[in-house]
Amino acid sequence: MDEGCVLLVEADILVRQPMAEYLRECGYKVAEAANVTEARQLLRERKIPIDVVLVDAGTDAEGCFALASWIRSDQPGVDVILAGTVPKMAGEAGDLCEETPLKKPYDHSLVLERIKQTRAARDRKAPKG
Amino acid sequence: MVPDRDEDLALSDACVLLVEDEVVVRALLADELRAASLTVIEAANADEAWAYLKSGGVADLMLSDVRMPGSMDGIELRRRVRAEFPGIKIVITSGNVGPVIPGEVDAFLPKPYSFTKAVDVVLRLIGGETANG
Repeated sequence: MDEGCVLLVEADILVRQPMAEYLRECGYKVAEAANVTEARQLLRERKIPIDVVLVDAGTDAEGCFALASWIRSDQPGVDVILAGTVPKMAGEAGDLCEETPLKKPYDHSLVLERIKQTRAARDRKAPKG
Repeated sequence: MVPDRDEDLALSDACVLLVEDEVVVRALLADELRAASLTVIEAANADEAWAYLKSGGVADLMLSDVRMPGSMDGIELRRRVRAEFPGIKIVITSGNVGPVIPGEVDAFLPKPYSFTKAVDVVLRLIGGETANG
């Protein structure tokens, strides 16, 4: 079962770990980053092919927006899903990802649904043949 | 070392707490440990590992680096884990053997190490053997 790889960027291990385990049980490979710096390092080194980045903007909103913007410009094969509620977020997020930010605390099934939707949207846009 | 089917089933219940601040090393080693049928909890530093354990998180073995950012290093984490969670086996890894006294850990893994070696040490300890006797 290979649903692709999700990079989960979340500062709180007590949030990150159960979310990661849930996604693994659903068939995803999950890479974990405790902050934006770790996320960039994983993406840059490309040792783990990543399809979707789920990033919590709650603790470092500016850093997360910068990460999302960098992914958009430098990592064209990677989708970004933002989570959390911070001022300006809806406007910023609208420029950086397709959907509105996910709310926290995470509803695991909603996160899974969003990841599926995001991947399906990319598949629809991909050139046929 | 490739576990046989029975060992493999038992290993799937075994949980390794991997404490490493180098994210690429952590992610790749976690992958190798999962490929060996182990459950892996990834902690980016000692504070995260301690928060996980204090919240009731389970671990059969902790593999920890020594030098990490945060309020404590791997040696202090080892001391706390030994005191409060004596059932957890401990593997310390470092490029410097200085801070680890033999007998205080179940195994010492000098850096740099191969992932194969690290997985082998973990599997031997989870299986009941102590790597350093």
